[in-house]
Amino acid sequence: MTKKTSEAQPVVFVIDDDPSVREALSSLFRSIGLRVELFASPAEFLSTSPSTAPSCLVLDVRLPGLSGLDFQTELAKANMHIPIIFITGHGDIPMTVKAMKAGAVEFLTKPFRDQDMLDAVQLAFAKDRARRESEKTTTDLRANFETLTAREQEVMALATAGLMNKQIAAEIGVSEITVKFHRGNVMRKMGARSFADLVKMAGVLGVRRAKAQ
Amino acid sequence: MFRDLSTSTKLLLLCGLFVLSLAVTTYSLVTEKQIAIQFARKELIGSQYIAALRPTYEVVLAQQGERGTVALIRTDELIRVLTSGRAGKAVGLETAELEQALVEALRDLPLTMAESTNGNDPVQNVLAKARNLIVRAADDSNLTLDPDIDSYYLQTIVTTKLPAWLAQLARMQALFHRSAPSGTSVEEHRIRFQVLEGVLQSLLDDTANDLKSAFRGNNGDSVKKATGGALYTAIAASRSYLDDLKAGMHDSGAADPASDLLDQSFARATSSATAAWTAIQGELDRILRQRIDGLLARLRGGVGSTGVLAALSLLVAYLTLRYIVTPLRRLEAVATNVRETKDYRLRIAYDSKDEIGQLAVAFNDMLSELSSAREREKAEQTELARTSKLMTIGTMTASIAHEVNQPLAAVVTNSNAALRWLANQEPNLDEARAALKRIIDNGHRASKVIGSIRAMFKKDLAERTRFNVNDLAREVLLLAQDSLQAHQVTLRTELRDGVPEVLADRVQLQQVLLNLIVNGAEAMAEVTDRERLLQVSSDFHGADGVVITVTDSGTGIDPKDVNQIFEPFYTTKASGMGMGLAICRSIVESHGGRLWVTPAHPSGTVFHVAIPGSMVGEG
Repeated sequence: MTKKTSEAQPVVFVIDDDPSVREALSSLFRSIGLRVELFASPAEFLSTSPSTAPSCLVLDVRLPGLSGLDFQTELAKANMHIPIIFITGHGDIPMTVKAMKAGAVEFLTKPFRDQDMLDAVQLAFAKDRARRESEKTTTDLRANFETLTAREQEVMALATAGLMNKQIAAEIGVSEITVKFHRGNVMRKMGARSFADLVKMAGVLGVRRAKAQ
Repeated sequence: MFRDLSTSTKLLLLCGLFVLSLAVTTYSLVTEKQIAIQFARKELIGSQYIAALRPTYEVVLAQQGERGTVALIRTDELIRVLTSGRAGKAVGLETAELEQALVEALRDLPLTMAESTNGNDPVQNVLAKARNLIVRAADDSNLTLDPDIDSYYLQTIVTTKLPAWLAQLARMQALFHRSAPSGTSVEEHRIRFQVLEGVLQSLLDDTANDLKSAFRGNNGDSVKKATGGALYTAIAASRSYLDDLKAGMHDSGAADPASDLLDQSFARATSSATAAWTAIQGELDRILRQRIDGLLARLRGGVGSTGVLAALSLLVAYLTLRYIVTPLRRLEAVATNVRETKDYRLRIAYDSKDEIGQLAVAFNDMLSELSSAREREKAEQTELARTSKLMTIGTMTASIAHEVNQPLAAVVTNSNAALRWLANQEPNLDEARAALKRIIDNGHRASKVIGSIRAMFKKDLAERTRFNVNDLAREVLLLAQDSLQAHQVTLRTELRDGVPEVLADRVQLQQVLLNLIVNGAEAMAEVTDRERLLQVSSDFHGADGVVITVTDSGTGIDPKDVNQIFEPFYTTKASGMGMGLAICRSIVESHGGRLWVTPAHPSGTVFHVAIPGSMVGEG
C-alpha cells in the first residue's frame, strides 16, 4: 500500500508454442513499459526461479503435450498462486467455465483486443500484489510473534480470548502486576497500535488459549 | 458317428457298458454259486432222508434183541411214516420203489423170531432194503460226490459203514440165537462166526480210519469233538460185544440162547452205534449247512460289492459329467457370448488344476490376447485414419481455422503494439518497424496456409486411380464402425455387384463418403422412437454413372433449407463449422460428378454421390 515505490517492477510471463504470437505479445506489453518473459512450453517456464515481483501468466490453451488448462491444475496443486490469463484460438463455453472456476483472471479468444489484454494484465497484477501483501503481513506478524517469550505468548492468547488481567493472573499463577508487564511487552513487540489491533493479529495468526481449564 | 455323440451320451454309454459287464459277471458268479448251493442243499436233503431211516435200524435191531411184540407196533409206525409221503419230501430222490420194497420187507417181519426160521432172515431182508435205500438216497443226493474231505468221510461212515456195521451186528446176533435150534454143526457155526467176526472187525477198523481221515480233512476239531467220543465208544462197545460173544462160544460150544448178558451187550453195541450215527449225522448236517451259509454269504458279498462298484462307477460318471461337461458348456457359453457381444473382457471363472482348468486358463489368455489385439487394431485404425489424412472434414476445418487464426492473431496484436509504440511520448520507431515487419510475415504465413488448403483439394490428375467404389465404401464403413456403434446405428449395405470402376482421387472420395456417413449417424442422434438405420448403396445409371447413396432415418432436412446445406458456413450443428458439405460438393464436382440430396421415406435424408464411370480404354 504505502510500500509501492520500493516494489520490484512487475513482470508478464507468456507461454505459447507459436513464436509469432509470443513475439507480438512481447512487443505489445513492452510498448506500455511492462517487463515480459517468453516461454515456448510450461516446462521451460518451470525451469526458471519464481519471481519475487508481482507477476501474471499469459497462457495458451492449446499447447503440445500438457494443455494450458491441465497446467493450471498442476500449478494449483504445487501451491503456486500466479494469476493466469488464458488465450485460445477457439474457446468454447465449457472450457471457459472450467478455467474461470479454477481461478483464471480472464479468458481471451484470439485475435483479442489489445485493451482487453492490457486490462486483464493490470487486474492480474493487482490480484497478485494483494495476495503478496497479505502473505507478507502474515509472515511479518509471525516473525514478531516468534520474538515473544513463552509466557508472553500465553498472556497474549488469554488476553485476546477476552480474559481480564485478574483472571489471567489466577490462570497462570502470577500477580496481576506481572500480567500487566507482560501485556505491555506483547503490545510493543507485536507493534499493535491498540488492543483491538492485537485481537485482529491473534485472529490472523490463529493464536488461541492453549490449555482450557 | 460316435464322434458326433455328445460327451454326456458317450459317458452314459461307457457307464452302461461297464454296468452291463458287471451284471454279466455277477450273473455267472451267482449262477455258479447257485449250483454249488443247490448241490449242498441236495446233499442236506439226502442226509436228512438217511437220518429219517435210522429209526428203522433202531426198531429192527431192538426187535432182534428183544424178540418181543412191542416192536411190532413200532414197525407199524415206521411203515406209516414211510408211506405218508416222505418220498414227496425227498425232492429229486428216486426212492419210491425202494421205499416200497422196504415197506414190504417191514410188513414181512415176523412177530417173533420163532416164526422166521425158514430160509432168509427177515431182519436182514429189512436191513438190506434199508441199505439199498440209503445208498440210493446218497447217490441221488450227491452225498457220495461230496467235495470236502471231512464231510466226504463222514458221509461214507453214515451211508456205508454204519448200516453195514449194524447189519453185521444183527447178523451175528441172529447167528447166535439161531445156532441151537437150527442144529448145524458146531464147527460150521464157529467158522461162520469167525467169518462174520472178521468182517465186523475190518468194518470197525475201516470206520475208525474213515473217521481219522475226516478229522484230518476238518479245519479245527469240531468233527473230533462232535463225533470222536461217540464213535470210539460205539467201536469199543461192538468189540466188547464180540468178546462176549466169543466167550459165550468158547464156554459151551454153543451159546446160551437165554443169555441175557449177551443180549444186553448186543443192545449196548447197537445203541452206541446208532448214537454214533446220530452224532456223525448231526455233524454232517452241520458241515453241510455251514457250507451253504458260507456260499450264501459269499454270494451276497459278491453281489453287494458289485452293486457298490456299479454305484461308484455311476457316481464317477456323474462327477466326470459335472467337472468336464459343465465347464465345457460354460466355456462354450462364454465363447458365444463374446462372439455376440464382442465384449472381450468376459472371462471364465473355473478354478481347477485339471485339463479343463488349464483349458479355461488358456481360453482366458486367448481372450486377453484377442482383447489386446483388438485394442491394437483399433489403435491402428485410428492411426491409419490419422496418417492417411483421413480426418473428417469437421476436424480438418477446425485444424485449418487454427492454422489461419494464429497468424491473424499475431497480425492484430502486432498492429496494436505498433500503434502503441508510435503513440508513446517518445515514439519508438524501431519497435514499430519490427512489429510491422512481423505483420507482413504473418500475413504471408496465413496466405500460405490458404494456398496449401487449396492445393489439397486441387490435386493433380495424376493422383487419380481406377478403383471400385464398393471396395471404397467397405473401407470407409470399417473406419466409421466405432462412430456408428457409438451412435447405436444399424448399418445396412446394398452394394451392387459389377458396378464399373471409377477414375478418381481415392483419398478425397473417402473423405466425402466418411463425411456423409458420419453426418448421417449424427443426424439420427435425436431419434429414439424408431430404428437408427443407415443404408449405404451403390448402383449404376447410364446418365449419372456410378451412384453411391447414403440414407439415414433421421428427422430429414427442412425443404426450405435444402438449397442452403451445400453453402459454406451453413450448419445446423451446435459445434459445426458448416464446411463439410460445401467441401464434399466441390470435391465431387471436381471429379465431374454431382452431389445432391432427396428426402427419404418415411423420414430421413438420402445423399447421392454420382461419379462418372470409367470405361475400359477411357483416359
